[in-house]
Amino acid sequence: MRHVTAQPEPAEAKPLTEPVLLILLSLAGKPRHGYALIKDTELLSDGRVRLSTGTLYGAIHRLLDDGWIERFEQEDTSREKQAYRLAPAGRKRLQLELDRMKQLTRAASARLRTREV
Amino acid sequence: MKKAYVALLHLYPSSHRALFAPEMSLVFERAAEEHRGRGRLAFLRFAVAEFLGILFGAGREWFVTCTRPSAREQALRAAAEQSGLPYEVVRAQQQTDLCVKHMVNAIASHDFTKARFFSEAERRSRENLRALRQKYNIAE
Repeated sequence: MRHVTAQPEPAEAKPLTEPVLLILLSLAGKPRHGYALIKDTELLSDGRVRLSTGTLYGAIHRLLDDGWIERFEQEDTSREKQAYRLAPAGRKRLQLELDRMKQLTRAASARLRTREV
Repeated sequence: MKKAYVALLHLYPSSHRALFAPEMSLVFERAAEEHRGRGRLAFLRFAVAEFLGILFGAGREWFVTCTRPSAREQALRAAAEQSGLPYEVVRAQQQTDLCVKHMVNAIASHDFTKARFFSEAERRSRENLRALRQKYNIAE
């Protein structure tokens, strides 16, 4: 007996915050440690977003708790240089967010086109 | 500068500090080094953003720590996830099981007033469970 729900979970329906979206996007490429994440999110946002360490590690804590990212063990790094990678649940959530954004972009473009006519 | 940063990390709950303080210090140090080379104003802006980030971050962590669900709720949520059943249903099921357990214990110790109380509680709990099963379209 397994319950299947058609509605998405409330947490999945909620749009991601910009720092979280950028962190997930950054980790979608390859595992990264904290400093590399700050640099890459800055690059991804075209220099618009620079995460402070407080914001970054607050988000990392939440993402680890939710199982969206996981610690990535590297042989040659110390505990201070811990790397993180995207977990399957995080990849799925990122895909959902991108689909939501695509849908919103399509709707917005269609609305703008009708206004121009 | 690093000393001030490390001191400010003490504003975080100890659980967060134990997990992330060494990493945070190291990342801060590298970022500070980079911004120092970009001029005084850039460094000042960086330092203000970092310290504000710590203040807000610590506040948020304390809020999360204080409002985190209890161990029982977490266990119920884990059980719900594992079984694929809605959380409400798993909670109602556990409530019913608890009532039965208390009723059996009360009968065993010949405390029939208590047993009647739990029998009534079990009946209500079972009704609630039945309603939830109907709501989520789950077979008995």
